[in-house]
Amino acid sequence: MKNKITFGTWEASSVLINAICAKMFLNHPRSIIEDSGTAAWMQVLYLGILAFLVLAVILKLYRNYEGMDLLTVSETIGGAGLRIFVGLFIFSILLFSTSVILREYAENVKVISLPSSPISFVTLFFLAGIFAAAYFGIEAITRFHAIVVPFASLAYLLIAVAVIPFVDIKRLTPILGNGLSSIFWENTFRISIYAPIIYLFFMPPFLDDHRKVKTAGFWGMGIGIFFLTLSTLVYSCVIPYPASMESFLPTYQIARMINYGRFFQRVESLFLFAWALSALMHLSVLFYFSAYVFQQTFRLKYYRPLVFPLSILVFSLSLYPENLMSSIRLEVMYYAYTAWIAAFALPLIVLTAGWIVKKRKVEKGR
Amino acid sequence: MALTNSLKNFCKKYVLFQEPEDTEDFILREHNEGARSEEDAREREHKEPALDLNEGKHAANDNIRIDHNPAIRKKNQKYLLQNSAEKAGQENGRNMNDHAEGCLNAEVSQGGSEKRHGNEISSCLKDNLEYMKKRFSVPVNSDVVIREFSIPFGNKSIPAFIIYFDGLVDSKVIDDNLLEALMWLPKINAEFEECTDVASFIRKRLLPLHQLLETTTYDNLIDEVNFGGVGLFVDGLNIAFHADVKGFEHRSVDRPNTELVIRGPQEGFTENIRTNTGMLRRRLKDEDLIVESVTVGERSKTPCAIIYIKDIANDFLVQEVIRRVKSIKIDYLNDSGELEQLIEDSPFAPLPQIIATERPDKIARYLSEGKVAIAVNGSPFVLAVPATFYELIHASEDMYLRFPYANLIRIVRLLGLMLALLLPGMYIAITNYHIEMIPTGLLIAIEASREKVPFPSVIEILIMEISFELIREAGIRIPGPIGPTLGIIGALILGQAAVAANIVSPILIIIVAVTGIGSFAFPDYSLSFGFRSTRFVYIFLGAVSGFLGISVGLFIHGLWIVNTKSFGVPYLAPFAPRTEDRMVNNVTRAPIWKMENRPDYMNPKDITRQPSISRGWTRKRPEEYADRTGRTGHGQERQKGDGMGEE
Repeated sequence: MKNKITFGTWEASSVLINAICAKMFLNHPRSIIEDSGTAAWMQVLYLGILAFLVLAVILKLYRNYEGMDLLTVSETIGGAGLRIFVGLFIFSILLFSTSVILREYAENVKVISLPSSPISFVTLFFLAGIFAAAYFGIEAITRFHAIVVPFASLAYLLIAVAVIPFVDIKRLTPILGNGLSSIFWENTFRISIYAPIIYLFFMPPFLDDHRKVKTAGFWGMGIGIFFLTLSTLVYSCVIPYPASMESFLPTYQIARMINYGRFFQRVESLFLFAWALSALMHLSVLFYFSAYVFQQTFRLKYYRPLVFPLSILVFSLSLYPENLMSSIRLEVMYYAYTAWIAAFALPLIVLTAGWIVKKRKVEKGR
Repeated sequence: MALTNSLKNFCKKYVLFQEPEDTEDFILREHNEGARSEEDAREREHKEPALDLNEGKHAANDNIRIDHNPAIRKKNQKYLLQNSAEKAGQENGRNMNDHAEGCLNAEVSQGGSEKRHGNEISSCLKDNLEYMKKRFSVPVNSDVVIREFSIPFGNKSIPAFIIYFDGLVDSKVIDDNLLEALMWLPKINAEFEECTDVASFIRKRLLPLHQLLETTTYDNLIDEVNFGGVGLFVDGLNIAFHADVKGFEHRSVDRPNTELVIRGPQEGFTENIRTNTGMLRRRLKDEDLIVESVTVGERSKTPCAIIYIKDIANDFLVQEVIRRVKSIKIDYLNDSGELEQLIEDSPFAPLPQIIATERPDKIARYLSEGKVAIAVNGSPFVLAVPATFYELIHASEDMYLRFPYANLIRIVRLLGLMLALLLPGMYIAITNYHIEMIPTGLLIAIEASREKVPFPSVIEILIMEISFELIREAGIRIPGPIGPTLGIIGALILGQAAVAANIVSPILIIIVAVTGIGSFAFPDYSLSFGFRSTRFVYIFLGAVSGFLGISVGLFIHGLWIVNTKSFGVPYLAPFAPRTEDRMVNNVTRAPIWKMENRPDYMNPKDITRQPSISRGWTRKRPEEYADRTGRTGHGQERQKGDGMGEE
């Protein structure tokens, strides 16, 4: 007999918080600033509210499928065919994201602290971490999140507090940045920054109760919105607008500015721990759910046999882009345009279809 | 075939990472009635003969198989009297060989119905004597004592013998309470001649021993003799008596060697299991404190005690502990350290999953929280399960100090833990990969000190760390008086000479010393080992890829620890997974009056330790206060007419 794996609301929330916020340690505010200029924080907040509302609708529709993940829901509504379609679509997005983000993290660490090491060597370290995480399973991953996420959040808040001397509110002007349309309409696809919420739809079997799913989802999304908005706001206030589009690691750049007296001058390397741990947690969740989705799509008995081949695949794909800029371009061009479909549109469509089918059945029954 | 199967299993487990289907992880569930019924069933089905491991305590009588069948008793009595009649014509001082013939004849005359079969004790003394000599390898075994004698029965006598190990028993008790009682008392006790049940008479009227039990099997008796008991065989009885007359030397209660405290009790467990259980009983003074006896070891039959408070400890946990301990098949069990390795959940986990302590106060506290303790005879370390990481970094003293001081020492201890684990690795990472972190002045100082050192910093630190481990290991093994000398040699001569010879830099000596001091701050010996061994991995990771390597190491190490369970309780509970009262007594400690509940992750039967207001005196109820003291709660004068006031 195998014991059922369960975890609590905080564990689930912390996974979502880290998954949403980990991009702060990548290129996060810069790509948004490119869209809406000095009003980037407003765009992040707006997209956050939008994502929150869509999540609320999805969770409302989800209440009839307590304890089921999205693939099981798809199967219930549209049979095995729909399950395989949804599963393969999500799996391909997750696998693509894992390899691209793995490359980005590896490139960033190489630039920050290991400039003379080959990229494959740095990538292998991350790969070892995510391989071990997938092997240990979701229970260990979520518990690790539950412990580390508060410290990682604290580390970021420390950076935010430490750069207060460099904050200039005037840098937020013009307040509407590149214009209302760029904030509210043209770049709505950027809602993909909240796409990691998709993990929530694979957590119901581990959370038991729909109320826990709702709580975890809302808390995870809420805190994620707070940190993404805060990071955008801090970055926009510290770095002038034209220069803010040049840094490929915005948070690292502001951390480098911290300078308190003669002794505390170059403490940004210490934040490397928080960054690396956050990156490893994010990647391990991505990688684990890739294997899990593949397993559930084809109703395989075990996911662990998939870990080794998938890790080889991810490693190979991560080395495919020529350099850091190519991987960033891949992320910006493909991930941002497709992730929101998997995270928001697809669950919404599937659940709405389920709601319509159920309504028809009820009407027929009458 | 076996090789193929092993290869197949290996591939399944480590290459394909398949979950084994036939194993069932133990999860500590909440207590419910089902658990009680399961426990009862267990008690009914697996009731084992109680162990008489004790000095001063005795096993329950219902666990001893006594032959109370009246027909058999009557037959034995008839045989005994027949034997006595045969002996009547013979001289009192005849030898056992003569009697043996009579014994054999009597058996033949009764159609051999009394013949011993298998493990059952014979009614023929000669058979018993032969059997015992064979089992105890007499006369090769020089410390086995067999004393033959006769019990006077009117003007006749009944042959008998006792068997014991010299050095395990109190010979004065044997002389005064056994031999003297059997050889003299029947002479002055006229009732003996008229008695019809000799066994009962011996037990009830002749032998003034506080713990005298009967057995019908050799194995029971031999177990007792092996553990300091005396066996008594009487001719004509197909039962034997055994009594607890232990008198072997053992260490008296002394200070614990590994867990010294300044504030708090100064007594530690000893090698004697009964002394240990007695110390716990003395502390807890609770009739619900249960001490269940189990033997482990096919040959050593080491007495172990599973200790818990029955109305606090979770029944599932108690069952699981009993199940694991009873399931062990091993020839000899010498120490609780061996038992710990046999019952822990993950043998390959980096940290210990069971608490081993020499302190009775610590075990008493754990029992009061719902844990289960396991004592092993011969070991001064008592085990407590389940264990969480936070409990392993607690010292007994934390509870005896005021909470601000306790918090300070806990933070210092955590700092020591991090230094012991990470400092050498961090040093290597910073000096090799993150030099920009070091302020310029310090960097110049470090580089200047390393200028003449020919080795790379990683080799330098490995030389010193390995030397330090050598000094530590040698310091433990070396005879007592030379120990401090070795410390001086290691610390002063080796360190100073190494610096003077430009083999290592002075700053490295500081790093290694601080790491060593940090590792000594752990209250748990096994935990210290866990971190000491892992720090070499961090040195390697720091040398290979700086902070990234250390971060990856921390990540995998953390996942491994977080994935570990101790008897169904997650190792990092109550933080991962989160449970109630996290901040009460884990990383930090709340005031003692705020410790209202027992740890939630233990799922105890009774969660409440004390009411929300445990300091009754803080409630200012004027009427109550006045009743008791004659003064109101607001400092008013004593009321008129009050007896106390009139004084």
